[in-house]
Order: sequence, then structure tokens, then C-alpha cells
Amino acid sequence: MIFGGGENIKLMDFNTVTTIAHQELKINIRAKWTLVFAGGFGIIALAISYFGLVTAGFVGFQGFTRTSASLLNLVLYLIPVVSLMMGTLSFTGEKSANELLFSQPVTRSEILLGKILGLFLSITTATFIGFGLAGFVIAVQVGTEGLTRFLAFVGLGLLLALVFLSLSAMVAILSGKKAKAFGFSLFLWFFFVLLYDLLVIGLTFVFKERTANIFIFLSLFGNPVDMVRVSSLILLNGTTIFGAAGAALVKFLGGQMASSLLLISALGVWVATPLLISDRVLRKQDI
Amino acid sequence: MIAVENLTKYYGTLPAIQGVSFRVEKGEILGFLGPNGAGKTTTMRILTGFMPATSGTATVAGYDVFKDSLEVRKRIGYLPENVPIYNDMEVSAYLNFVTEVKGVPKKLRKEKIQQVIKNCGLESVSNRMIKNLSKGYRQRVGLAQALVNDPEVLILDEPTMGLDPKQITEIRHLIKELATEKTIILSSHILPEVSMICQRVVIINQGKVVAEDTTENLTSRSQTSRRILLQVDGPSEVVLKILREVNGVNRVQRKDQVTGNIFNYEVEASKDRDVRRDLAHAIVQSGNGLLELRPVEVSLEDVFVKLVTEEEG
Repeated sequence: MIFGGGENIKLMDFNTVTTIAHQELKINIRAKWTLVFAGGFGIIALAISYFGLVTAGFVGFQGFTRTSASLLNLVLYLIPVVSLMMGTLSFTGEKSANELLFSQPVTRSEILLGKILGLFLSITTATFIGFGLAGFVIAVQVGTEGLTRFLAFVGLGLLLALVFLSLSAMVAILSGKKAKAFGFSLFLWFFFVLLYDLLVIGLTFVFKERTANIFIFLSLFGNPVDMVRVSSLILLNGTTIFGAAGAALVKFLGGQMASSLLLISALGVWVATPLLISDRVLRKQDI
Repeated sequence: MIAVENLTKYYGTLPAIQGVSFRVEKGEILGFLGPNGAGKTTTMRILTGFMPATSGTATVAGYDVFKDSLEVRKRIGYLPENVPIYNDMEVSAYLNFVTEVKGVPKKLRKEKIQQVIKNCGLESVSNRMIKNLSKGYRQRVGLAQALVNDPEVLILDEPTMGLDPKQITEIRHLIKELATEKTIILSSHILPEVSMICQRVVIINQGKVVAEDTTENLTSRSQTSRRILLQVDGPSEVVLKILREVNGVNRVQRKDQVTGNIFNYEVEASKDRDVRRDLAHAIVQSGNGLLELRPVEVSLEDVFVKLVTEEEG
């Protein structure tokens, strides 16, 4: 990868990126964020698996597929907010620590990528510890059926984390100030997790049925949370319960595999775009 | 080693520095002085690649600060005003990270870290978490990170801030030692410190360089008259009259009363005439007691205040 700008054209040094990423991971583990989230994820996964069917009069551990389905909404709420907060905190956090990096012989692109990678590794560690422990208990209690789906579901959760880390970096770099960045981050969470679907549903009333269907289909790509929701349900074979957008998508693309690939690629675009914007702005920014 | 030409930086429409030029030769310590908001930190941050200038040029060790920013940063050790540290790390782990980012070869890292820990007096705290260190030790850790890759140029923003007198003396000594092989720019609010450490001084005010010279030249240039302080035991009206009658004296001022008839007096005489002998003779001959007589030196502080006040006026 070649980056230019004010720092002269230079090949990105991946040793530097991994050094910064490793440091970011270490800082997050030392600051106990990672352990707090790991504990939170583990307890929630176990609780949901154990009490998930309490309304049906059944208490006890469910299998991996059911646990994943029950966890889905919670993951869609939690992962974005955790990623946004960790990312914003890191990019606008201790001024002196950031100054240290910027005064070293490393490019700003290396700093950006290193920090994102480190944050992603922190969330991945928390997720693997938390869901891993829960998975172990479930496997012992119920067996390993549906384990692959559970792992793929965790993978989708991590992809969602990467999208929101990338967004948090963009928000922090564009805002400059900590309070402003946190405000924008919270708004993004509120917008994607709560407001977006309401807006889309509201707008469908404006269109005729055929246009509304296309609109719902396209609207899916405007919200990474919805894309992960739909991908997860496709993965968990829940196509019948996730409504018009998912059904239209599967029908339109002629299969679950193609739909999943399209959604994952679109999520990749959601990771790359904010990162590229951040990189461009950061390289020209006064520190 | 460092050449700055016509450096100008605007924040929006506000000029932070305008047409700043100066040079620093190899092995020299340059003091960078100026009141708060004068543009010192902006200049330092431009030199260290934190931000580009709006116009002008700057080179460090022959490398253009804007075009070869990374090459410049490889050769600079920078200690910003906010000491760059990670609170949740031990000192030695932190320095190890800094050597990695600075690209120090793996086999040399341990040796470099041990050296800098010794030079900055960090032996007793090398395994402690940075967040548990005193301000003085944090400042030393900041200095250690600037020095750890043995850079050719050091840029130090208020390096003795927050240190106790003993630590200040040690750090000043260390900086002077380093100057035998490094080029140093040092910004400080402690003017006697600059006089003590630096060979040359740049005074910046409202974004412009208002003076650049050795401390000796600055003080002697600024001295328009010769001032002498006397302490005399005798009736003050009589003493004043005697002093005013001495040839070459332009002005006499009675300062504070020490006790009874003992007063301090400040005499101002022409710059080209040494009136000390005549003053002493006149007082002794009049039968009054001469308790003290000494010239008042112009300090860098006087020069600084004068230049800054003139500019603002």
C-alpha cells in the first residue's frame, strides 16, 4: 500500500502497524476494558442460553443455534456501542499518548491502521473470551451441534465491530474534540440501531408497493446493523422470520450464499470507506 | 543543522507565526523564549512534523521538514509540553515500545534503554507504572523517550517544568552534556535557566522573532546606561546631594530603607563612564558610611521584558 501526502510517498511498514496494534491491545487490556467486555459478553451469553426459553416454561441451556438467535438482538445493540466508545476513547483519549505517536518516524496511515487493528484485537479478545467461555459451558451441557453457526455468528459480530471502529475513527478525526466526538458517536449508535429502521418503515408509506420493495431492499445497504442482522438470520436459517427485506434480498440474489457474500462485501465497504476518509483527513490535519 | 526561513503559520485567518527565521548550528543549544501564545510551540510542532506551515521552509540535518518529514523525525527527539506517556505501562516497557516505533534494531534496544534509564536517573522506577510516578519522574521519562534512539537533534519544550531544584540541576547538567554531540532547541519560561544553558537565544513575540543573539550580546546591547546600587549609612537628603554632584551621574534614586539612616540608592550613569570609584570616594570623604556598592547587571529577563513590552506598546 502506498500513502503520500505531507509525509512523502512511502510504503506502509507493517511491522510498525503491528507494533502500534500490539501496544493498543496492551493498553486496552491494562485499562481492563477488554476484561469488562469479556465478562459482560460471557455472562450475557450464558444467561440468554439458560433463560432464553423461560417464557415457554423451559429453563436450561439451549443449543448453539438457538443461543445465537436469542443473542442476536443484544449483539446488535452492544457491539456497535462498545466499538464506538472504545474507538472514540482511543482516538481522542490521552492527548499526550497520541502526541507520542505523531512525533515518531511513522506515517499517520500506519498510526490509524495500527490503532484500528489494536482496537479490533481488543474487541476480538473480549468476544472470544466471553463467548468462548459461554460456548464451552453450552458444549458441555448440550453438545456441539450448531457450533459452526455460532462461530460464524460471532464472526459477523466482529465484522460489525470493525465497521463501528472504523466509523469511530472517522468521527474522532473529523470532530477533533473529545466531547464532540462522543456526542457524534452516540448519535451514530442511536441512528443505526434505533432510528434508521423507523425512518425506512415511515418512508415506505410514501412509495407504491413495488417501489417500496426496492427501497426496502436498497435501504438494507445503508445500515451495517441491518446487514449483520439479515446475514445472521440467513446463517441461522431464519429466513422466514426476518421479514420483507431479507426475503426480497434472498429472492433477488437467488440464494442464501450469494446474499451472504453480497452483505459481507457491503460490510467490507462500510469498513473501508470511513477508514479511507479518516486517512485522507488525518494526513492533512494539524495535530 | 537546523535552518528555518520565513516560516508562517495561520490557524484559519489568525497568524500564529509570521516570517520566523533562525539557524542552529551543530552542537549548539538555542534558547527559544517568548510569552504564552507567542508561537514557540507552533514553531516546534512544525519542526517535528505535527503540522505543516502555511509558507516558508525548514530543514533539519539537510532534510526538508515538509517533504521528508519521516527522515526529519528519525533524527529528532521531541519532548512536548504535555509529556508523551502511556499511564498504564511500566517505564521500561514504555521505553521498549518507543524504541520499536523509532525503528531501533532489536539487538540494540536493551542497551539503549539501559543507557537512557541511567542518564535520566530512572533506575529506581524502571519497573513502576508511569501513572504512579511523580511529575518530576514523568518529565524524566518524557526526556528518556526523546533520547532513547540517540537522535542528532533534541527539541525540548519546557524540559524542567515540574521538577524539584535538585532534579532541575541534574536535568540542566544532562542537557549541557548532551550538547557536546547534539543540537538542541530548548524552550523555557525560566529565563535564568536559558542564560545558564543556552549559547544563543531567539526571542519570539506575537508570532515574530524580535531578537536573536548570544545572551551576552543581548544584555550588553540592551544596556543603555550603567546602573550602580549603593547602601549608605547617613542622612538621606545629604547622601542624595553628594551622589548627584558626582561627575557623570545622570540620575539618583533612593530605594528602600534598610534601618534607621541606612538606605539603598540606585545611581544611573553614562554607559561609557565607570563612576564607581568617584561615588565611593565622595561618600567616604563626606564622613558617611559606605556599606555596599555594586553594579546592577542587565539580566536576560530585563531584555525579554523590555523587548516584549516594546512590541506590545
